[in-house]
Amino acid sequence: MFKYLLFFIVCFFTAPVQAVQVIAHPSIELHHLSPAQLRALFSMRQTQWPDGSAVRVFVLSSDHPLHQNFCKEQLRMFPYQLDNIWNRLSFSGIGSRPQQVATEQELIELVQSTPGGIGYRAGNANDTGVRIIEIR
Amino acid sequence: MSKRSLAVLAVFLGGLNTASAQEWQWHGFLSQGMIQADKSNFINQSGKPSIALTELGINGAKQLSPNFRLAGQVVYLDGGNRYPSGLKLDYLFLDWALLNQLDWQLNAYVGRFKNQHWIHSSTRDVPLTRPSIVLPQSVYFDPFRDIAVSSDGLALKSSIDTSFGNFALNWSLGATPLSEQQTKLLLGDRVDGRSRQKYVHQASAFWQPEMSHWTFGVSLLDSEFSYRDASAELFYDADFMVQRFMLNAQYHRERWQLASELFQERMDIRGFIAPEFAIAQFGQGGYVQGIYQLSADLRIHAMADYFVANKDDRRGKQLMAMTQGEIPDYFGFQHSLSVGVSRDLAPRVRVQLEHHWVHGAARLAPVVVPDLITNRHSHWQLWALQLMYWF
Repeated sequence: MFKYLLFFIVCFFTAPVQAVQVIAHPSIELHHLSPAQLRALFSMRQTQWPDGSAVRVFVLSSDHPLHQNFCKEQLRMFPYQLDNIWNRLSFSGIGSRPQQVATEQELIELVQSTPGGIGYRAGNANDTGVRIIEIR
Repeated sequence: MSKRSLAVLAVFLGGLNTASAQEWQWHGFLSQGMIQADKSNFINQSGKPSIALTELGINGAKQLSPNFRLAGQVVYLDGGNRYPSGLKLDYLFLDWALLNQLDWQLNAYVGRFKNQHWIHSSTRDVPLTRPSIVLPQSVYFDPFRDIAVSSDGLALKSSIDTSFGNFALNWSLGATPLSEQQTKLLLGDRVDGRSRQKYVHQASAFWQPEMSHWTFGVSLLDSEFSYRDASAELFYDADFMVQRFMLNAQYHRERWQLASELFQERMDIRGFIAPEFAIAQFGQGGYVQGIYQLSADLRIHAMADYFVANKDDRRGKQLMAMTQGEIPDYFGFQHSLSVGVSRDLAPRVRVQLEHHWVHGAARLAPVVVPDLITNRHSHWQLWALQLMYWF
């Protein structure tokens, strides 16, 4: 009885966490990345794919729930840390900020249509012609 | 590197434009504030509230080819007595991506580049990137701002991901042109000669263990300056050497973060006061700074800062004795506590307010010949209010 009660309490009081998938342009020949490699891409340190093409990073605003889940789940860092890194890069000249978009749909469309594009989407979204990259 | 060399570099790089190049990217910041430091010359001689808290900047960057990138920033700063005010070429360099692999990146920067070796050094003038309006003066000594913020020369930066975590390695060698105003800030209002930084050589390493909220760092600095006296003045030719060893740590949680930097600094002076004068002393200092996020747009911070100019004379008693009481003991140290709050009023608009309680005057300019007339109090306070916008 106690176990069921505990399960009910956990389910009731825990906010649902939206699973996040990392997506890339279909031409990207990678099927998986390590969390560290993903951090290098979204921290804008890694600016080329292994084939030499330019990386184009697309993100939602820092206060968007999907972006927050992506940072914590996949990058294993907090959104403000990523903001700090981007500010430091763009105001000391050694890097650029990623392109920020308004909606998840816009983000998916840009990743789909931009060679070298990488972004993320909710894990339960329908297949939309992008490459899904596993993080492990 | 002279201004002429930088201009030639800019023209040369303009010619490198290729078909694969992307568009220019522009960013900037505008900020204006009010600040008061009573009973000290930190901002002005009167100790009255001042609007000498202006920081403006605009930067542009362009990917010239897959491995070459050009970046530059111009700033206008007015900090009162804190540093030389005016329009400055903050950075202008060519970024060459030597290695661009998934686990290893290596870049070389040629031109005028920012100091990437300390936690806040590369963006100390960019209000939105700072935890406080006035950074801890032990490490981010404002009268040294122009010397510490950027250099003309060559820098390397590498990032390596391993099973032990991420390692970021930085190295740089260059020099900073010193203005007449900068010379007076460092040496004193009465000097008429010229000073020159011969070189500044720096290296640093940062390590973030895998799956850790901690980042640890170490940095080294070695620099030499010279002073050549003007005819008919009180002071003599001099050589100065500064060496700094610094450790730092950062800890990040979702709602709060801590940062600390601790250093020991050796300073040698030969000449200046008399041809045969020589002194070598080790200063020590450091700070701990905490930030707590109360809500999405509201945060508070607190900081404790500590500095002694001579680790063997922490209370300044030897300094006072050596100068027959002319320089009071509180010029041998400077410690402070501060608290502040910042609020985001809109996306990319923030207001920040803070208060500092300071004991000592060792981090007030000028350094070598201190201002004994204005700084007659061992305890003084500082408050600052700043509104900022960035894009």
